[in-house]
Amino acid sequence: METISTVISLSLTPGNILFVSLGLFIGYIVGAIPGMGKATAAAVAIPLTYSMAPVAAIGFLIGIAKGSTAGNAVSAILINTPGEPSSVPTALDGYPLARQGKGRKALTVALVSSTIGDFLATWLLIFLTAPLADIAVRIGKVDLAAIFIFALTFIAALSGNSLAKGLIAALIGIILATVGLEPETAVQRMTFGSVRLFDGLPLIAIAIGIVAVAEMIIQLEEHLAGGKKSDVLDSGAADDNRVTADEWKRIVRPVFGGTLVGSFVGILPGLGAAIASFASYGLAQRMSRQPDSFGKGNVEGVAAAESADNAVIPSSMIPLLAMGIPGSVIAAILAAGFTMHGIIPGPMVMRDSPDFMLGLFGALLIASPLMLVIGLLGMRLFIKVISVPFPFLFSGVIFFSITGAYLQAGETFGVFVMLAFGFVGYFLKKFQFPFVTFIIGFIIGPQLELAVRQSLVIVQGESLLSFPVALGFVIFTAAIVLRVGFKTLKELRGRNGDA
Amino acid sequence: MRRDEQIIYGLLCLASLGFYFVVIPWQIEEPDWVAVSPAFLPKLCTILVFVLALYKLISTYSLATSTYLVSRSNLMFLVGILALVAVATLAMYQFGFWACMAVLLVPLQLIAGQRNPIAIVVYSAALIGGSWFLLDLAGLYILAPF
Repeated sequence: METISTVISLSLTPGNILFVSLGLFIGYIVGAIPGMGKATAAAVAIPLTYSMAPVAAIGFLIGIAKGSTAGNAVSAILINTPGEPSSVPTALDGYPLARQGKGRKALTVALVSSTIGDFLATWLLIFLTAPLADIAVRIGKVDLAAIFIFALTFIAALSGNSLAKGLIAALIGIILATVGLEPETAVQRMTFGSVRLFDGLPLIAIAIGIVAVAEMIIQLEEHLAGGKKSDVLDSGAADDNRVTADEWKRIVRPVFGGTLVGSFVGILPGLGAAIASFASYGLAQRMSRQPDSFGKGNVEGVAAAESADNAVIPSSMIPLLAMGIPGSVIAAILAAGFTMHGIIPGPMVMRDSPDFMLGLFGALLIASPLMLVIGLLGMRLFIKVISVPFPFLFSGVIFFSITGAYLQAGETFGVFVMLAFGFVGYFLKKFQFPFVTFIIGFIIGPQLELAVRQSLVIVQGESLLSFPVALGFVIFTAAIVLRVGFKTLKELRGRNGDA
Repeated sequence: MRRDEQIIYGLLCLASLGFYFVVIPWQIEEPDWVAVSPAFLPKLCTILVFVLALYKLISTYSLATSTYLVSRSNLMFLVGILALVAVATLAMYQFGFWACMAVLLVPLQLIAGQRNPIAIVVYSAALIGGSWFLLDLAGLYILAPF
């Protein structure tokens, strides 16, 4: 009871409610713009939170992440242009509904399903974080090093089309994370004598460059090559725009199924929201009484995909808060936001910043009903947003990217770092190197280095058998590498045979 | 596998060699009193990058097609935009942040296909004015207490 009143007093302040609502509103608008993702929006917004209190700042960023995930459904449903891969299953049934003049019905189902998925997964986050963090605190340094290496390999294997590409991206991220003063010896590493690099490369400028700037340049190329035209459809008939009682009943099972799938996938680092929404969509189709109507405009498909997509956001924060491992791009960007406000996500955060954590949980919880209210009230506006002219979008995102990088460093150095990583990010994206592993490698690099260095000292002269947990994770890592390696060899032999 | 992807792997191999033999010894001091050298992790990661890039280069060599994912015009376009922003950033030392951003917004909109001069001016003014209000005024006096 006392905890509940503390959560309320810490999170339900006018400032927090205002910033969570503002984040949701901005996120919804950004999500509704075709091609704009939550990672771009959150990365650009991080420096804007500089003057806010930590709970309000993280609440604002979470609002953007949640709002844009829900907002992605708008462009997916109305113009068949999913902002992110995780919204593709939403478009499979949402767009046919819109073509039938039932766009508003599909949007309402998507919004309600998103809200329920998000709300339930937030409770899971609240209940699981503390016990998992408690376990994580007891993990020894050798075990921790093995877990970090396993997590990076696992994420690299799942994030792209090639394990080697994922590992190369992660390793480059780790190398760049070593720039600056070495914490143990204070030796300068790759600073080239520049005082600006003593604290390392600025994470937020890197994230903005890799995520937002690179994405905008690629979108500009596509736009100039002939982009998609808006095709909003609305029959205007009242019955087509309202969800009937029978339809509400039909979506109950897909929503709860989607929430479960999304929560499970979110907890596992690296799987991502796209896998969750596709798996949930497939599950809903198998369990439906009308499986043949999927893909032709079935509200169950929209509900399953959207609930899973939104459940991933809170649940992907579980590994971040419990172990300090960001399992997705959005978790990595939120980790950057945490760091900027002096909070190091990981097992100690519950002990070191209990007020912040309680406030954060409260902010996460109030974000769900606020998302529903803002989504319903602003639906007309969000529908209009999808036709925003591309020149406004492009120049606006570049402008906010520069402003964000400038604000974080307080000088032009951050902008130059952002531009350099915009260049790197362009090639990462073009050649399908998973940039998520690069950012995660950069974020966990310092912790990984510390764990590896301490492990090397601890294991001297001892057998790895003395560390069964670490041994288990080493075996898991080897199994992933071998499995992917054999699969690749088989494919190569097949292709060589064809040639 | 495209030819330019192979070039990327070749460059990665060369860069990791250069990093291992030139940058790390030059930029990281290795004091002999520490148990694990500060250069240990960068060196280990560099070796792994080299091995993985070399593996990708060799394993896919015979499969490479002579097409390119990033054309020369793509590259010029990318460099052009980044150079434009870099010049505007350098000009901030002389003319200040907001003035440079206001000027930069014009070519950015023109590049993206905007041809209506009124839209360019109004949008730039709204973006600069709104941001200036939010960051310089509201950031200091309204948002800060939260």
